Amino acid sequence: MSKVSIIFLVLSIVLLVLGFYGGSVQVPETAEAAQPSALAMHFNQYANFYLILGGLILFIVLYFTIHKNVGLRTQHVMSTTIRYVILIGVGVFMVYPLLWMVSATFKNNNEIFSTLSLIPKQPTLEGYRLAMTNYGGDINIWSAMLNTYKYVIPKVVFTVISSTITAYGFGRFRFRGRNVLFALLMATLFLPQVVLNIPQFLMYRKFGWVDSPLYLAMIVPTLFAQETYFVYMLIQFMRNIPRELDEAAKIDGCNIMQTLVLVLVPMLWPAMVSAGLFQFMWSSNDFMGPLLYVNSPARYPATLFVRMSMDADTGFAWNRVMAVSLISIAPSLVVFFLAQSQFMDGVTAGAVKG
Amino acid sequence: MTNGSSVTRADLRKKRRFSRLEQGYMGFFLILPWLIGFCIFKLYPFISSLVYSFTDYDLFKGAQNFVGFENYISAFTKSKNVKALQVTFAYAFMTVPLKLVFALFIAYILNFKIRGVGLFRTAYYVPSILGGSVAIAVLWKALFKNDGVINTILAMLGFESINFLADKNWALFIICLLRVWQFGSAMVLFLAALKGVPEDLYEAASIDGATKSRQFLSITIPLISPVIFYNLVTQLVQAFQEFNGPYIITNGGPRNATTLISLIVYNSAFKDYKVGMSSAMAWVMFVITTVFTIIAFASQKKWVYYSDDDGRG
Amino acid sequence: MKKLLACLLMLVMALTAVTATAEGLTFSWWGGDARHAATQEAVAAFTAATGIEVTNTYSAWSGWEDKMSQYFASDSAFDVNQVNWNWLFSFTNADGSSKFYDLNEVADIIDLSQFAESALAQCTVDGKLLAIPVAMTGRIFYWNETTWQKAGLETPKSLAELMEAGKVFAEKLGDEFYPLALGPYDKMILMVSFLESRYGVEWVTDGKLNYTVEQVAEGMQFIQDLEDNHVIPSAAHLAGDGADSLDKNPKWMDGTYAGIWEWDTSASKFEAALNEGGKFVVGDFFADMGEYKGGFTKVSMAFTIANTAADKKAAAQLIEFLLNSDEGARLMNSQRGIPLSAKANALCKAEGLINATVAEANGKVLAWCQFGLDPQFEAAALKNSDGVYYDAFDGLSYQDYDVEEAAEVLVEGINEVLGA
Repeated sequence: MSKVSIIFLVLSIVLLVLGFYGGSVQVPETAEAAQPSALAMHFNQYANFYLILGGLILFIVLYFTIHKNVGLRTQHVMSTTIRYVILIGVGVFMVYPLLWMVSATFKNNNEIFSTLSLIPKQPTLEGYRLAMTNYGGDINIWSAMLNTYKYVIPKVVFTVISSTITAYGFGRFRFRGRNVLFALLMATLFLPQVVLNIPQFLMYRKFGWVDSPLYLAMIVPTLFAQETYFVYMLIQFMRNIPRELDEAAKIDGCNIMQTLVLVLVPMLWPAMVSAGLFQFMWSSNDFMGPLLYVNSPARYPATLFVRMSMDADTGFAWNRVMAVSLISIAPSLVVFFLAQSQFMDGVTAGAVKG
Repeated sequence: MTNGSSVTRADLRKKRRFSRLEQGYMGFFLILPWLIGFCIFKLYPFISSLVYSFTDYDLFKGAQNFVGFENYISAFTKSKNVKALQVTFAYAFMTVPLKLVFALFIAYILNFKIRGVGLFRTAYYVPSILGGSVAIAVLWKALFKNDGVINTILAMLGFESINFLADKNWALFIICLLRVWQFGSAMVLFLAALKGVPEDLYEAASIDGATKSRQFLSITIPLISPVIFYNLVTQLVQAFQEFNGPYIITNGGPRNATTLISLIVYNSAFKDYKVGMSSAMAWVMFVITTVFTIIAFASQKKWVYYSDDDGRG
Repeated sequence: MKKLLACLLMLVMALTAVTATAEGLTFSWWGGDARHAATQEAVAAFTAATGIEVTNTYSAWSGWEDKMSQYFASDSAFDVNQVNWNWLFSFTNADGSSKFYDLNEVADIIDLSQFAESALAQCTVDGKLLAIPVAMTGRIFYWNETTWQKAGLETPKSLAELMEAGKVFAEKLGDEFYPLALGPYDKMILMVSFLESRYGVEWVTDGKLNYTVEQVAEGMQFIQDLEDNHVIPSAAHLAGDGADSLDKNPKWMDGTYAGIWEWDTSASKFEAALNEGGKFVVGDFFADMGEYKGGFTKVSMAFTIANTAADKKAAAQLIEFLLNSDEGARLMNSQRGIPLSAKANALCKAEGLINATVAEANGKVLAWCQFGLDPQFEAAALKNSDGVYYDAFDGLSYQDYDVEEAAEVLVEGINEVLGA
């Protein structure tokens, strides 16, 4: 690297830093009488922007000039650096909103929007205190969370069991009409839920499932393997399990269900876990289902409670809303971090192995 | 899908080893719960919504009259509904390509031997886990309101603040951005597919003097095309169904600029009690989704490369 | 593995088995925190007096109507409900019969003689008394006097003063400051009052709109003038605040918006939302709006018994307790406006229980507003966020329509609803 390029590099970094630290660079005020020209005012207003822009342009120019004139090894180092810069930049874009949300829960309402800093100046737990608001003993954030898992857990368990059995039927057996039924199964993968919502609502209303204390409208369909995505995912997984295992089990005298439970399930277990995890996330986030099928506040799950806390009157406390939101998604976050490898396997299982 | 047929082929090979019972009705018995559920929870609502769409079904009063195509005519003539169709298309065609290109770009970079791939992958994936939740929609509103975080950044750079929530073009864009932000799941798929592309193909191409971009276009893209296809179809179906974002962030406003068809379906049924009209809109949406899915499937012969085909190299 | 599955199943059973269905009555209402607290207290007193357990459900207004229509449509409504007046006309069964119980059947429990005949008549459909009106209400201006003083102005006594104030606010306080803030529905009601002041004719009578497109266009021009004169913020400006309603808008709380046009019954909610230092005062009607005293009053809200209620006698007892008993009247005081019940009214006045702001506003409204209201005025297809009022007034503010077009949209939309 030549001295010139080092100077350029330092300059571009200085410009970028100045740009991002906005307020600190002030063009010194000239004498009171002198009216600044329009151009000067323009530059004054957009100072930070031009600093950052200049820094970036310098940096890019520098990068390409150097890139051509250095050895392979240095080129490699440079490309890698650029990649990391992009990855970290995108990472900030991805994670900043979430971190901002966490920090907002500890700020007071005046501070939330007045600064971009993630560290609260006057940390307060007021948001959390307000988040515990109890609606007449009917519902608070904790009972809302409990309500959520009252239907999420049955949904997860039932989905995994029923989907596994259905996948077993489709994946390991031949019977009349199998191909037609399989095509129907695949077709439902592309059927928008919106088309079904209204007749389903009217049907569940007739069944007396609307506002059922057992959340029947949301749970019962999972008993019948109606989440096609998981059935499909499990069929894909099952195709990679050698049939010889089934047959060995049969020779050992296992009947069909024993073969499933004793031979296939242990092999399928990772796929079943990731199906369960997905169902857990999706059901915890589901908004439309509870919006339609849960009426009594005492039975509100967390998603509806978050909505409700936005409606609270006498002042809109953003720190409260953020705290409620954060508490409501915390279990999903924890589960994700504990089981992320299963997640990734699950995502790829359906599509890539084909 | 080709998967179905390959299962069948495999089955054919093993056919003899299965007993008569297993071939006869045991499999049918195993899928029976699904079939029953399918008839009750999918097929029946599917058909009844078609029937409702030809009536003046009212949430309180039920169906009183058969009205023929009146609801469908209004779906394509009433300005509110036409607008919703346009907005839905704009939304889908903005979101899906943006999201896929971004996901592929990031997956491509991650596929170089990067330290901490796991960390980046996790960071990028978290938004997809939480994205559908109300909490995130609330967060989005906080970021983009007049005195929200984004406008604070703009002000820092010296720009005028932008009224994101009330500007007709920006409002739709921030709803799109919420989806693009959740590019993680598509990215993980791309990453897995990219890892499956054999190294030696790139080496051979390098020796032949192909540039990086040339290699990307002629080797990478064709080889991961099944995953591109899969992502395209699933994202398209999802985009046409989007509801949470516009419902919570903008409530369809400003001036219906973010009123997607799904919002019209919900509003006409539960605010205006017009279930018939709502069903018709839902069906219009279904037909559009199906058409696009069919186009995607029909076109896949042209550009999707499956490894067990012999045609391309 | 089996153990794991067994454990999971046990957990499921344990979770789903928790299904304590409460005995007794269920009761629902919407409102602000003050109303919630007062009503809860009154309900507790009712339980203490009668031994009947009551389960309460309550929330803010936004989204409540969608929710209630779902409850009623799915016959899963609460036993006793606070309802909006127009629901009496829209919540019906397939055969056109009402979702509400005929309260004449329980006249032995509820003392109907305490209510004015005319008010009861407004709640009577097909000879059936579907609801007991709680209070009458109308719209009136409220000002944040603190901001007006900062602008060096007195709160306005005439339309001319209000129109002038816009520019003064912009000059003295800054462009962000407005003397008044109006949502689309507020604009609609203000416009109707304006037109009624000018022409002296009720908006809709016998299912017929009494104004021509040209006349409505004048009203639209009036609203447009308010915006052009910096009296009210544009619809886009309001939307950018990211608040669902004005009482949740930080700019109302801190006085950046210094006025509202609201129901006299919901005043306390807006008063409570103000930051410390904001002084909330009741405004005056403007005599210079027109020759007549425009504006309407309506039944603000009413109590009903759902047809699905198991114990209608107990439900009736609750209504009687809340509206007519000494204890109920004392606890509920003016949380739902000035009580219509003669007995409760007399008691509250004698004991000085009525919130001074509410009493002042209600007094002014009843003294000024001469007109009635057609129940279809609040029909869902008109009033909702995807309804005709929003379309016309937001369209005007976003400059999608000029005043004539906006007037046409409004008149057509209203005629469609009235004709249906």
